[in-house]
Amino acid sequence: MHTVWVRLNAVVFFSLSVLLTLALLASFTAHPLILGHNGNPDQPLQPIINRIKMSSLRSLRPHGSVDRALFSIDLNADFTPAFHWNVKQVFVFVVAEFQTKQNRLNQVVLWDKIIEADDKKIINEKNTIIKYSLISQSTDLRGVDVELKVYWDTMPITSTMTMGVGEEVGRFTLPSDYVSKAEKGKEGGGTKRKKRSST
Amino acid sequence: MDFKGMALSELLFYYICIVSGAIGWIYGFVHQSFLQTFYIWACGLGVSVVLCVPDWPFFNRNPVKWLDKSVLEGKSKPSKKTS
Amino acid sequence: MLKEIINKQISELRKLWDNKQELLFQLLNLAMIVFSALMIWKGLMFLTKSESPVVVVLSGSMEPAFQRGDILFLNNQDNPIRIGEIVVFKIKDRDIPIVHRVLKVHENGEGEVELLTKGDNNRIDDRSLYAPGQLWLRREDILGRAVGTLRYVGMVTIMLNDYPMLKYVLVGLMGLFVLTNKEG
Repeated sequence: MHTVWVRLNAVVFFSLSVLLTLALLASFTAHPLILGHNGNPDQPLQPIINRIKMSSLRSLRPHGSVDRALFSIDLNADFTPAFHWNVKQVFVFVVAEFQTKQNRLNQVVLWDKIIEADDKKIINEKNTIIKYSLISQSTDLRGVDVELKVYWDTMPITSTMTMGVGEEVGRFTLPSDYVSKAEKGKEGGGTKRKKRSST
Repeated sequence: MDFKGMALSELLFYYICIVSGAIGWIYGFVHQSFLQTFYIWACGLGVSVVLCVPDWPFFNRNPVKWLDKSVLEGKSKPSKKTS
Repeated sequence: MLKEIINKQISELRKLWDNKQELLFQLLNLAMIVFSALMIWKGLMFLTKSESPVVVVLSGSMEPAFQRGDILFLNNQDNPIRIGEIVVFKIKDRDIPIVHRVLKVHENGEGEVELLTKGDNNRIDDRSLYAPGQLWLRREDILGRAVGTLRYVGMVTIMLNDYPMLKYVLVGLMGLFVLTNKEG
């Protein structure tokens, strides 16, 4: 403690360890017992997924050596409970899970949204066209059972990232024959316009 | 800075950092904003750097009392002769 | 002020040079710091099974999740990569690994996984970033999945990359202070 440099080093290093302690303490408060939704430990820090389902099929077509399906979805969810003081953002994404002859597991992201701490935390998408179309690895999508699930990746300020998945599952079966865009042209145009106005 | 000043400065930044951190954490928790916690912590750091790092006069109130020069000379002279 | 410090350091170095025992002690001290850093790094490599357990984000393609200068901690345990995880992968003939989110997972009957990734802040998926003709990432391309971040700390690394001279200045300064610091 005899020179300015030694003192500066001591002060900065000590305050950094204090900050580290604060960060650790903050990450512990994410425990549902401490910051449960409305102080209720039975309602942990989980979003409420009200509805996830496929609303209308636009097309199912071969695209070279792969099959490609395009449709729109309904999603209604409230992510307010997933936020507390140690959350920077939540990345919400809708995943299609299905089995094909070639693959025992396929997971494809169809739609995603970043919710930051200051954003509106209620998602209400109606008949919204998916952002990324459902593409298989070969021409094997006809008649496939698809499960739509809502996942969220919570990114905290000081702790580790955690991933969650909603219990609500939207199930549907793709038609056993190809459906081209032309057949559903009118309906598709309508949903497209709707989507533009909502974004 | 004298020895008592060093001890004082160490105690000072020790308490300032801990107290500002504790206040910041509680304030941030109540307001549910970790940014507030960080700002209050940073204020604590700033205050302790300003208060504890430079050699302020109040760290020098207990100067070390050195032996009188005459005493030292009086003692060393005979010892030199004997060696 | 600055001149005073420099002069002080030079006189300290001279004293060290004269006192070989102390010089040896300080050199050992320096070596201990370097080797413990190396040990921590290798230990992390062993624990996380990743060849680079800590990386710095160099691009803004994952904003707002990660920004330029954030430090990422990686884990590369054996369990399979699943949808939505943020992975760091390496492309053939490219030096810099990329941090992006998994957009598609296809696992065949033998358990082999093919992945497609996309940056949160990018409009399209990463096919154009992959090697020519490469459509999918495989498990061995993945360096690890991101488990946590430290903000801004990596800014130092980015600056060191942009101005290589700074590296030598910084390392030299640190060595000098360790050598001349008596309390070390």
